[in-house]
Amino acid sequence: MDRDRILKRLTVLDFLAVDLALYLDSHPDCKEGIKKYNEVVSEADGLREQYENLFGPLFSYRSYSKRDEFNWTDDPWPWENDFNFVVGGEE
Amino acid sequence: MAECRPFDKTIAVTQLAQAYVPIQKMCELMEPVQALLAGTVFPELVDIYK
Amino acid sequence: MWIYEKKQEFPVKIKQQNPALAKLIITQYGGPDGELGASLRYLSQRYAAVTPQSKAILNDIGTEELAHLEMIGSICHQLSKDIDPAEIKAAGFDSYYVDHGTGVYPASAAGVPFTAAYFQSKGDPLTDLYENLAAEQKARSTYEYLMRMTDDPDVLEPLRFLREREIVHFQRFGEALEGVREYLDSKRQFTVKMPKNE
Repeated sequence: MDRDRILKRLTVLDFLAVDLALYLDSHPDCKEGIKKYNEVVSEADGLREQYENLFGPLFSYRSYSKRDEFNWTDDPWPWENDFNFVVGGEE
Repeated sequence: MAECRPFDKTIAVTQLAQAYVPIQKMCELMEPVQALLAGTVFPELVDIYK
Repeated sequence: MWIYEKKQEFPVKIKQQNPALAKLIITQYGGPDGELGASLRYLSQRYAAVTPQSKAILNDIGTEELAHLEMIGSICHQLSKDIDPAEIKAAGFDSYYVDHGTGVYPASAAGVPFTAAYFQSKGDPLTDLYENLAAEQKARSTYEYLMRMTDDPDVLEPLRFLREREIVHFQRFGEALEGVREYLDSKRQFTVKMPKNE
């Protein structure tokens, strides 16, 4: 599957999780918010696994190294143009 | 179904020499990609700068 | 503790070189109202926080600011990495270049290196939150001034994202303030140890 598409969806979901988590920090009793947050985290989890299987580890000292080489070090890194995608408007 | 209000326009309890920010209440959420572009998932917090 | 995820919070993909713009945007890396100051401010204030919610908010926003720091560093790096040396002086980039080349260094647009004097951690939970409300507004204004300095959509998109985050952070600190006020105004029991008689 297209790397840019998975990365874009994962970026979007992780951002929703960040914004919802910040909201829940000051609204810890909001059941609706917790439900939505967990849904987002669940979908992001599945997608993160897909991404890592296809393109390599995302987390420092948490993700498995699934190849013989320690591909955590692989280029490109996130601050480089080639790593990123253009958000655009569509899903 | 009661309409969801994202915040109350009046604050019930105040004192002198303090500043107050109304508490937000979650209502509708934005579409995911729109949320990333806007910088928040809460439409009531979006402030467009031109 | 911190763990690094190998992706950006918001993607930075810049096609057009513009070292003059990098010289300005660096101010949100190491300047008075930038992301480094923001993250150190909130992460330092955590320790004196008194309610679990305000501790969480300081922790989590402080962490998010590190992701923003990375975005700003990426923007400055991508705007200047392949510049034509003949254009450095014309771009007003020469004074930064002689000290840092096309590297990224925490300083303001005027070239003042980063300092902890840009933020406060007063140890007073109310004072700290008021400091943070002001900080988020200063950052928002800075992003607005920066957005006026370019038409490049590749740069404007991440700046627009970062500006909106400041508004959301302001709201969260405002909510934390209410929680801390309620806590400080509530009836609480203190146990005082009586000194032994000599």
